[in-house]
Amino acid sequence: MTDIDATRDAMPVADKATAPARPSPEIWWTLGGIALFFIVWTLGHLVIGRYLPPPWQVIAAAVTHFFDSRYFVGLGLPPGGYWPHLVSTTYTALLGCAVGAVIGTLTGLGSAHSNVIHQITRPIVAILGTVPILVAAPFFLIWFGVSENSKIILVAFYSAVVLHLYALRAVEHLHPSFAESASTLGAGPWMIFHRVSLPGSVPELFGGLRAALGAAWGLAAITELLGTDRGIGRVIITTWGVQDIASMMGGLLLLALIAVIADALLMLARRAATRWMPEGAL
Amino acid sequence: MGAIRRLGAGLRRDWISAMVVIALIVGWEIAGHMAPRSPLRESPIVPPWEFIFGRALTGLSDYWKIEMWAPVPQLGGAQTLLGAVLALVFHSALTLFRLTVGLVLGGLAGVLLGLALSWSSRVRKLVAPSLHLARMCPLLAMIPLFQFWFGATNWAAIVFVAYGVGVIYLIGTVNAVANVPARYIENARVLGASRLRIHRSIILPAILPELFSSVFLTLGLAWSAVIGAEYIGVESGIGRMVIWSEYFSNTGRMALITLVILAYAMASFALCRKLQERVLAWTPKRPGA
Repeated sequence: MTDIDATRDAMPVADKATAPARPSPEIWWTLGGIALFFIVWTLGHLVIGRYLPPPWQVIAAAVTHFFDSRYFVGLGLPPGGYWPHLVSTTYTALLGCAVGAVIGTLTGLGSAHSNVIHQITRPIVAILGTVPILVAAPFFLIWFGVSENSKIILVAFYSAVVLHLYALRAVEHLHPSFAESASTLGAGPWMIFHRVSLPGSVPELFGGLRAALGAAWGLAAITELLGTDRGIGRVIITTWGVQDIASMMGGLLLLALIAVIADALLMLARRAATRWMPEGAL
Repeated sequence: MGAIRRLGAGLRRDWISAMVVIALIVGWEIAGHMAPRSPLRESPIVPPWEFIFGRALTGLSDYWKIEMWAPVPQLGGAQTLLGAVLALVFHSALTLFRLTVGLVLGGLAGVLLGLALSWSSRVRKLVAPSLHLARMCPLLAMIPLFQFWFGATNWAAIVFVAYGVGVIYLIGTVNAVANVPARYIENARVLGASRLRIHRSIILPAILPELFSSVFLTLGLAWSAVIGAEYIGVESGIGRMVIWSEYFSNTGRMALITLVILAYAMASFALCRKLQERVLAWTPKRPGA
């Protein structure tokens, strides 16, 4: 899960290069694309039948059960509709990702600068980065209990691995001439770390953060399938039990929507954080 | 001889890493003896190594269900090492089969669809929102949906892996094609190349390096997906063995299967790296990469 190049927003940059100043604004293409998505979905419903509910049924399920639902209570879920579950999953994903990101960035930047830290962290990252989450999850549940904490720790572990690898790579990709020229001007190792490596790796760190956050939603949801009574994963597995596909897809759609919003906010933050960079340097 | 010498040189260079690995192994053993005793004999909280490779290993023969080659414990047979190995090989083979077929099918479908969608920049812009939503839709949360559509069969697992992998390849291909410098294509067009020719001899080689970054991403994803599919629906495969062990809290067996999966995953990553070196031998080396 390490090597995707989410750092470069590939499509917009290239479009600018190949088609300069197209008069039709981008927003129309996006709206058309969204319309296309719903058209294809509806066509899929017409072909497959009731196993793929049409968009309006899924949206209706998501809206009617959003804040309050006696139907969910009847299925054995805690009172309230999708809303408390969404909050719970979002909390797990965001907090886990944030904790993991801070740890991973620190260890990653540290191991880029010191061979000892690099050698210490390398086998640990290799092990944690390759164990599929579901295999590791039962141990977390045994050791930390079926609680909010074990879910957060699980998400944090995976985010830390992703951020570690991105931070390591970011510093390696930084052209050595930056550090050398700072060194010529009399900067010490701490100054180089603080004023050259850290700001220089910000764009790639945001790429890593994007990858980690994107994965965090799925991780949070899957840990809820294994235990705990709260979270969108729980709603999905409960409605699966009564074969209510519309409610299942409603939960999925709501989670995806939150993921899309969080991703957009992250991209806004990246733009604000890298405003000082020359255009096209990302 | 050469291998031993290389190992020695590697150990001299990376002796700290080697020490960390040894410390992890020893630390696990110490934790296994320090951890509070669980009331159940079969489920220590941290299973020590001699437990994992002793009782837990022979215990895996419980999952051997075919009355051939080894006694079947379910029918009153003894727990044998042979049965454990057979069960492990049988379920590993199933999982590896699903993983491989899913990876290949998903990869092919994703790349081909990606190339088709990047035929023109307008099509690309039109499908961009759907692709974004597909990428943001948490894959592991979709397992119940796939179980529902395809039942708890081999195909459900394969299609699920292929879907997860395919989405990444699709997006990777579309991005990579968009990243091909426009002057390559203009150059070829000036020289009179047809559109198909441009796709075949310029775009395809140019996107290969970027596609390989997707290969590593999808490999980890495919492992998660195939284990997840077996975990929640399909009643066979190495992921299912984890569930069976978890059902009776056989932590030793869980740890053993985790180690096996870890070994498989690391081997598959190493294989991919070898493949990448061979396929991308022609690309110029980047400094620091």
